[in-house]
Amino acid sequence: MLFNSLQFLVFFMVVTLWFYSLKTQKSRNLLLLIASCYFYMSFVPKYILILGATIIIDYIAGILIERTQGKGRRLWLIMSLIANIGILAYYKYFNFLAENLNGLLHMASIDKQYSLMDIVLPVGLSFHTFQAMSYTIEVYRGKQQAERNFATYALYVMFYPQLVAGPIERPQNILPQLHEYRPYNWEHVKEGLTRMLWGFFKKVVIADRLAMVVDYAFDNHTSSSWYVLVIGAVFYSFQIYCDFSGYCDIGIGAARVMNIKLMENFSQPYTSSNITTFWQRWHMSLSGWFRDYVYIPLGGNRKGELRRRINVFIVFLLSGLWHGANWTFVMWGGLHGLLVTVFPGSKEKPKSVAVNALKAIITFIAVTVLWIFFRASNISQALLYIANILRLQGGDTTTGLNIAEILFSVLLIIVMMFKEFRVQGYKMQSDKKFYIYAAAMVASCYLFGVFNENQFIYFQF
Amino acid sequence: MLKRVLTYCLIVFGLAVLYLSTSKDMMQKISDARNDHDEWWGSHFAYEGDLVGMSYLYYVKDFHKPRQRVFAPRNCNNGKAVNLVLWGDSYTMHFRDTDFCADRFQYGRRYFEDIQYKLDTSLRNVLIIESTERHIREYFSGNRIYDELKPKTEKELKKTTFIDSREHSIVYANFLQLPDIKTLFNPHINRNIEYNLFNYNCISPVRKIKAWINYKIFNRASGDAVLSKKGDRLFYNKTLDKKETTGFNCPLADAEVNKIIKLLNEIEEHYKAAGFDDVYLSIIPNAVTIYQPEGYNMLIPRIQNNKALKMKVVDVYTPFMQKPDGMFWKGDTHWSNAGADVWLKIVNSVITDTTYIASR
Repeated sequence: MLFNSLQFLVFFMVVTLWFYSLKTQKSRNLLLLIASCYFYMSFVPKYILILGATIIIDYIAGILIERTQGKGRRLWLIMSLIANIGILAYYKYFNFLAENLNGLLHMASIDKQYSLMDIVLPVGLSFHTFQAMSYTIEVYRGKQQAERNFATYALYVMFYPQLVAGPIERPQNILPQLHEYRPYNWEHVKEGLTRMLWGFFKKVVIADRLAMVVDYAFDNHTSSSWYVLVIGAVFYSFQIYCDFSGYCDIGIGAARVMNIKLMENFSQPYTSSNITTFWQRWHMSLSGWFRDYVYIPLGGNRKGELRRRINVFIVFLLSGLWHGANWTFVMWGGLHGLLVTVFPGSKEKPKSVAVNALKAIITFIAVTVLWIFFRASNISQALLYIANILRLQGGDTTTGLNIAEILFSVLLIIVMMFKEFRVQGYKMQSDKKFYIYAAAMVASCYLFGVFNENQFIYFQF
Repeated sequence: MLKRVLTYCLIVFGLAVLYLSTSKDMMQKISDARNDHDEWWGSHFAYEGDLVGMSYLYYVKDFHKPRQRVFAPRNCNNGKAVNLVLWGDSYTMHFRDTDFCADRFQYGRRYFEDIQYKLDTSLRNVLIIESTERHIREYFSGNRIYDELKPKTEKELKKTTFIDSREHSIVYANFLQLPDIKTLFNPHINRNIEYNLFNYNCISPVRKIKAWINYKIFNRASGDAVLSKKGDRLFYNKTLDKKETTGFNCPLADAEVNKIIKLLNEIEEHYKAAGFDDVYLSIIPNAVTIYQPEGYNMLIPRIQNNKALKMKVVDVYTPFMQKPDGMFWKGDTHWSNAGADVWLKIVNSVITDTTYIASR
């Protein structure tokens, strides 16, 4: 079930109203769990079994880790991690490994070829697997008590607003909220709905409109003029931001309506003055996950500067691979890792606004170039795309949209950046203001929205 | 108290919408009921053209199609008398028996009626399987059409008379086991919710405003229609979707073509063995294939000209490409009267001429 669908709107209305009509937290959790199962099964019903298996494994593992002392404790954690990573590897990376192995065997003139599996990647697998692993690791570290109530634990993994594309939550944030009965709060409902509407606007009005130009540029990168390719690349930077942060706004807003506060995932990343800051503001829940569970265990910055840089690079490579089983993602992660290790940027903010703006523009250009690898279907397409820009290729100047819509898209981007930079937070004191805002957003989303059932980009991860 | 009542009403209403929009049976009943009372609810499809209706571009008169369907009178040769069995879709469903040079005419529309037939040994038995181009890959690559076209035994015929074989299996399954989990998750639920909640005359003005903005300012069509590059006609968006097999530009591997050919040959063999003298395939091209062919995956020529294909073809792709003007309505997915006439003439010449080898 896509957030940008009528099914979701009806579903959300029913679940929220039902949620508030229930008098105990236990029954509310049960309702949310059933609703989350329905939500997830709307994609591919049978994949609920995979999710269910990981939930059972980690639920039991959490209790066993807490009960056991000494080496056994570590053993249960390792078994839980192997199960989670094993499922992820099987569904996400098996074909990738097999393809590459086949390529190597072919190069070595060895006849043997491994057959590929005909499988569809379960939606949001990387997200909920990481969230589940974060639970067992935190229990192992003693920072989180093992959850005894199975339904509550299952809901921690499956809570539908963040189930398929994050934010990748921590048990310390979610589990206490699932235990506490929280009465209806109109201010929170308003705040949540305001945020949801902004998320819908970013997705259907901005991201899906920009997608038409982006798809056109990437589909026709051999015949299009260089500036069409530049527009395509720049628009992709904003498309993926509006798409992913729009999803998070809807998810965080939906949870807020039910009085549950999810962690933030973005903080105006495109105003960052260096690449390190960009990564502190982009997909913060994933960056935090890798920092806490990979970078620090690898030694972090405790073993000298060279080792720190190597650790950072490893984290970025893994982050690239996390996004998808394709060399384009590995390349994207690796190049970001290289930039962060070689040009980490200064922690001090420049005093001059002009210098800061210039640095932000340079950072944006670097990020945009690297997004080309993320968007391309293979590395040679990405390299050719970049080469065609650099050689100022002439050619077709159509962009997939007419000039009026291109200008409208630019205006939308400016409005979006201005709003996010100047107006932070989604609280509205006045009800009247809220109703006017809601009416305006609904009208804008309908009249200017692009409704072509585009999935959210991050659903594929 | 009032708030509580309102809350429960909204919950029930929301659940009802989800249930009705999920259930195929209920949607069919709702659709039938609404079609019976168009004057209350508003018609689902525009008479001016289905794409005009999908895009709400009613005010662009150029896209409108005339309502009457008039075909040129048939000109039949004195060939052997024919028993014509035609299995087709919305392109051919409006033809009458008087349009064909056949002594006997039987029509079966897939998925709506049982595609049964009666052979007549005193006549030349001709079977024509017609399909629009956008469904060819879905039907033939996925083995679907073959399953449906398989003739039933006498026993099966008695059991399944006028019931689609797939529906039949679902009905029986319900008696024996729990409903298939897939029936709880209808892939068309969003389309159904839109139909149930918003497809009314009173909401049309808002849709027309959106359509006007898109057309006038952004030079695009909204809904399920796509404006042609020249801006002179509408195409069905599924026929331009590169990622779907319905797309005229969706990549097509040789292996898939070979699979389609293999299945067509099996079908041909099957029905020849069943008693038909001739079995023909007729693929009706998408409008986009004819009017905006850049990027075409050449599905029709790759099937029709394939040397391994045993089935004869009624080829309208070639004459349409040679003289495309006026073959399709500008605001409808279907061919115009002129396009249908071209097809009828070819069919009539094919079925009355025993020496005719169609386009092959």
